[in-house]
Amino acid sequence: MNKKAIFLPLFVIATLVILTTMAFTISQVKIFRQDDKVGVRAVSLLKTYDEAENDLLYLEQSLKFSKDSVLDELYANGGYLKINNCNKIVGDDGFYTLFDSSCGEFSVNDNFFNGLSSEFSIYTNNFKSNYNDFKLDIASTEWFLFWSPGVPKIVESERGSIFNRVSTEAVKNIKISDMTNKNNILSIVLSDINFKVENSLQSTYTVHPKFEFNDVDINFFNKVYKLVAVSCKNKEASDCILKLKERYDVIASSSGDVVKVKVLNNGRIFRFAVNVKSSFPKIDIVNILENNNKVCANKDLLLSSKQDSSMSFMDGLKIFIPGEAACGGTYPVIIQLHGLNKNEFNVFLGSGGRDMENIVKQNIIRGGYPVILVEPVNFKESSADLWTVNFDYSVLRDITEKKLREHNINIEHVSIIAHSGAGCDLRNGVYKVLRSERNLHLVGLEDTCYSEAYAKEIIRNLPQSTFFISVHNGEKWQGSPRDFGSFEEALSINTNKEICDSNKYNYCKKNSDGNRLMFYAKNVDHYSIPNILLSETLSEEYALFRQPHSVV
Amino acid sequence: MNKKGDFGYPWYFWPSLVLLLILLIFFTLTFFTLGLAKSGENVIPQTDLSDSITLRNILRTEFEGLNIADLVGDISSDSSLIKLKYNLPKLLTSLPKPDNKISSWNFVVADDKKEILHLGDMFGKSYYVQNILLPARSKKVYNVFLYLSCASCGDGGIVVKTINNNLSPETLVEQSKDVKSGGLE
Repeated sequence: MNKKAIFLPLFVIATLVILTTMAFTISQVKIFRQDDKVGVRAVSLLKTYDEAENDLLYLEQSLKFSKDSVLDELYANGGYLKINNCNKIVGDDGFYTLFDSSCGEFSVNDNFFNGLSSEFSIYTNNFKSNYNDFKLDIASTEWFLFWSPGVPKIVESERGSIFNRVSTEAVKNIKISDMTNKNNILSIVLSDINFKVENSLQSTYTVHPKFEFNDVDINFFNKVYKLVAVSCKNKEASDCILKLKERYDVIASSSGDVVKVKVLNNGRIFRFAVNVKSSFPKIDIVNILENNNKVCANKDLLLSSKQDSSMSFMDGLKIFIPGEAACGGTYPVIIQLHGLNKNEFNVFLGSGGRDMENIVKQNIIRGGYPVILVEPVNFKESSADLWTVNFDYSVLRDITEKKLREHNINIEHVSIIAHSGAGCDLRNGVYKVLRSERNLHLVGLEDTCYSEAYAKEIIRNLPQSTFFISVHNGEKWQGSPRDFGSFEEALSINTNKEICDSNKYNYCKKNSDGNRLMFYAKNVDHYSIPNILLSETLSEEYALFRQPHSVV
Repeated sequence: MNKKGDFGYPWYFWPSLVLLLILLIFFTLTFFTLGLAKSGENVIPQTDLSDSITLRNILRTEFEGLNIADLVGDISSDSSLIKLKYNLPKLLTSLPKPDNKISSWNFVVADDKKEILHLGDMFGKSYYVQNILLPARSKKVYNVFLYLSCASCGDGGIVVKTINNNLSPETLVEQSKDVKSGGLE
């Protein structure tokens, strides 16, 4: 071969090498830059945000329908879910769930949470995102891949749906992580959702979903059962119905000891039946106290303050909050007015006092409801001066409310109890409170003055439904009216109470409605009477289901 | 045989020439006909830009304590259907529409591709298609669509009429964003 003639074959080989290299390089760049267009990342972010908003709307609606469905279930099945162990009673208009010990532990918060989680998971499992992935130029991509054998191929079925599936899975995996129900607002927190941002694999858009629904009161079931426990257990069926009707819009009928009840509330009907002579289910006290599904283990609190400008009519104020209430919630308050007091700061509460804190704690251990004790202090040595002109109940209540709110506690209702000199002047003390406050839950008198005049003042100011309780030791006081007979007669307290510990009392009397009680304590000194009255009050009015249980 | 050639000339010249021609034809096809050398669009196409803001705003609009999403979720009940048919057309007519074109906003609820509610008139092609999934009380999942059906609108541009509606200012802001994001006039 002529040495110059080798040029043409060399030229052909060089052309092949150059063009092949060029094609390979261009295809590589094209594949790796196919999504690197102006606006792709911005649009990816917008699409992710839009998808998240759509999903949040779906989740909100799902929770709304789930919540309605579970509430319907609880209302129809006596506070339990559809599948429960309770016995059923057939009525003219369908069955009633019999609320007795066969039901097992009653915890409406747990029932609601479990039902809600179960319903909600049906909705999330049905979810299928409609997110549209960016459309790739598939035909040319295939051709470019011919030049780039190292680049992984997208499976045909996955084309255009990778992020759609990622989004679908993100929603399917959502769980309810927290739920609270306070002030009729149901707050639901879901687990975080991580949305992958298309064309930016390292980027994630994380959403912390929290939804609130108004007019949801799960504690309604607890309140009704608390009333049932207090008003129906071991009582006559007819009395039970009367008590329920006093508090709620109730349609009820009885057959022997069994009472079938329908309570109308917020457009729903809560149906259940109760046998007044049978045992009730054990109640989950922690959930009742907390009103949500968290466990509270706070310590008892004794708030104590000396006189300041905001409470000029008293020389100090003490508030006892049992640990079971210290995490917040809504609880009843009992204000205890002391009698004549020269300069003692700790009369009932605190070191050297009468240890009333322990009575509340013992009642809780026995299954009772936690109550908050309030003790205002007033250094006065005469009934005519004690809790007198400057004493303003509304200010006392406002201060108490303010101090409790600092601990996230709302007042369910207020009761007032007066000892000795606090109930011996019709112008002052407890009678001053009765004239200014009509919504007291309970009024108590502890070994104080008794006569027809005091009874008439009570009748004049106390609504018929208000609970009244008194304990005295029967002793005569020189110069002070102690006419127990006329007092009891005026208040129609003329029937012996069925249950009366004869070792403790000479008598226990009640009126025909059973909401006015009078105890004549045996061999008890004047200063020990408040402890007895508080014990009786707690067991009469703040016992729950009267079954011993442990408290966390 | 001339002085520049030799006896092997016919054996390497013609094959080399043929191979060169094949290479040139192949790479011409690859680079120009199949578009390997063609530079792609640098800006994302407008068809990739879409969101569901207007539809979400409509679904969250409340009437008598219930929003449209609640009514759609309860559409199997007659009362919800009546409320939807009464309230939704007012909302749809208040949405901005193209000027001098015959058009109508359509609101469609579909259950597994089967339409169970269709409000609005069909005039032609669909624009601004928005789609959201909504749960129903019956645990079904409905597909809800909102789109503008327009008789003579082209992809090139739609002139939007002056907005005349009772929606909240936030809704109007979202709508105006929506129109811009469509890349139209």
